[in-house]
Amino acid sequence: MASESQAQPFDTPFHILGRWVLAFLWTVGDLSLFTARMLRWMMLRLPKRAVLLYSFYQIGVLSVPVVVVTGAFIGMVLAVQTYDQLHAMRLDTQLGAVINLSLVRELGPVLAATMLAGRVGSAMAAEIGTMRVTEQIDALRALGADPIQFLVLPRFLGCCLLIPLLSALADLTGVVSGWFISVQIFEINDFHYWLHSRMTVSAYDVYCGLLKSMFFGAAIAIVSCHRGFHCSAGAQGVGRAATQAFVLSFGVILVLDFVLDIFLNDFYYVLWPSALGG
Amino acid sequence: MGIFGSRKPNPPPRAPSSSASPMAGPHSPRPAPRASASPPVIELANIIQRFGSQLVLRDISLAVEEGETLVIIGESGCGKSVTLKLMMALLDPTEGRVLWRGRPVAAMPERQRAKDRLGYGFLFQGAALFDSMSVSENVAFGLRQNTDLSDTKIREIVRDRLREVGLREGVCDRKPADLSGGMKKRVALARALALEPEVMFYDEPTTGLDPVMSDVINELILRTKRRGRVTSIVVTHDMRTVERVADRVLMLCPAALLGPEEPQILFEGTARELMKSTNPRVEQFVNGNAGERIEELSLT
Repeated sequence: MASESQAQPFDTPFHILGRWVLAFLWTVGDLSLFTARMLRWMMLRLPKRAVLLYSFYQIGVLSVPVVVVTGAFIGMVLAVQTYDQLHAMRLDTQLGAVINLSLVRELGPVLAATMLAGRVGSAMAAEIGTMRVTEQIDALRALGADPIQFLVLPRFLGCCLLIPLLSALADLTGVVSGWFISVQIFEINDFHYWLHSRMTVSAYDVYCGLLKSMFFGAAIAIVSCHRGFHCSAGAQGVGRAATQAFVLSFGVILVLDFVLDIFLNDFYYVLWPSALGG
Repeated sequence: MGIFGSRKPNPPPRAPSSSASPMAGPHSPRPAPRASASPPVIELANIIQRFGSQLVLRDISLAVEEGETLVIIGESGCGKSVTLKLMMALLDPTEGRVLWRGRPVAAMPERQRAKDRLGYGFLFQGAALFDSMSVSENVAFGLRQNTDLSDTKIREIVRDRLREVGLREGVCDRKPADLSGGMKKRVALARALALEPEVMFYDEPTTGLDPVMSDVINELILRTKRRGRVTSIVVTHDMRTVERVADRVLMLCPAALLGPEEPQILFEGTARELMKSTNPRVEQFVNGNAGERIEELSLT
């Protein structure tokens, strides 16, 4: 038989780069189609309640301990790291403003999402990847269920709705632990700690943090499920899919954080032009 | 009661979503025996299948007639399972056409395809039971997904299907991980049969099972065929299965071993003809004799 495989004749750096770019474009295109199919199902038919509740439990309830510990340590570390600088400038009471603004606007959502990309995203990629390798995804189709509707949509909804709530929980535990270190350990005045916090942190900052977590949740669900669907055979394939899910989700979270920060900062000045000063 | 239990005629539950389909949905009445003019249940026309640069199927054409049991054999990597998945439209061919009762599958919208697919049952090689669900949830899955039957009715059907494959109610709450290989296969068969398919696909149904359990599965294939003239397509390496269940046998050769003009279908005929075949490759397979293939292996 004539062999169908062809040796790759071009292996110059230029060709390798070209192939890499093509593979990247193919992945982006496939990810877009994957997302479009999922959004189409969201309009057509939502998953059954039992399926949604299972996903929500896996994503939301089981992530609470991880998020509480993460939030608590972010708050404490921020307090310890910032105290010395502010104390040297006799601005101790500004500690609350620094901790709480950093938490609700940036560190709470980003670090909670990072932890969840590790816990939830990797688990989703591994679970779906195993289902693919063991033909369970084919079995779903054979039994009249669409794998995107049955597997991806509940996870997407779970991540979009629950990751903001988990981020809020991380914020809350961070605020409490930051307060504990600042006021109970460093003996900063309680009244002024909260006064400066209230003067600095606005509701807009809290909303921005929660909105960003919703985008982070969507990114974690889409990237992780996509990796699971493209998992190669064997234990190594499943392991690679889980790793890729975390690494890619983390990358997308950072990029989204940057883009959303620019957009939300600009949007703030659109809402309140007087804040530009002058 | 024997291992298969007593078969009670189940009143078929209605699946409104699929009843309009000419492929006849899961619970539509059995069609009358096919008139000679009606198209084959499934037809593959000039199928070529590649995965990347690897050619798996080279110009395969075959048809499966109503009520027959077609057994596809061939050595590992010859594309048997791929053929099965193409027939059920779980894979799209690189080239060529798949037809369901004369209608090209590629021209069907995905929703129609999914609806028609409910008339087909698939027993996967590794059973493919859903890990996160119990046995009863696995068997009930298709019914819950595609019908509006009450929970009581679904439980009744699940119980009956499990009894038909020789499993007692005690297994209902167990997870697939707690089952033996033979039990998994039987649960998977019960799951496929729950929607009362007209066509059953079996992907290596006896692989990994002991001889006794293999015989149980072969008997189940025969019983499934008898209930309402189910058309069956079986992919196997097991010559016992071929002898027991086949109406027609088709042997594939791995595309990589073919000469430029050689057809990939090495043999087509009855099981008796297969046993008498003088084609060396067929003989080798039937007798389990590697012959000069040992030298090929040492070359690689």
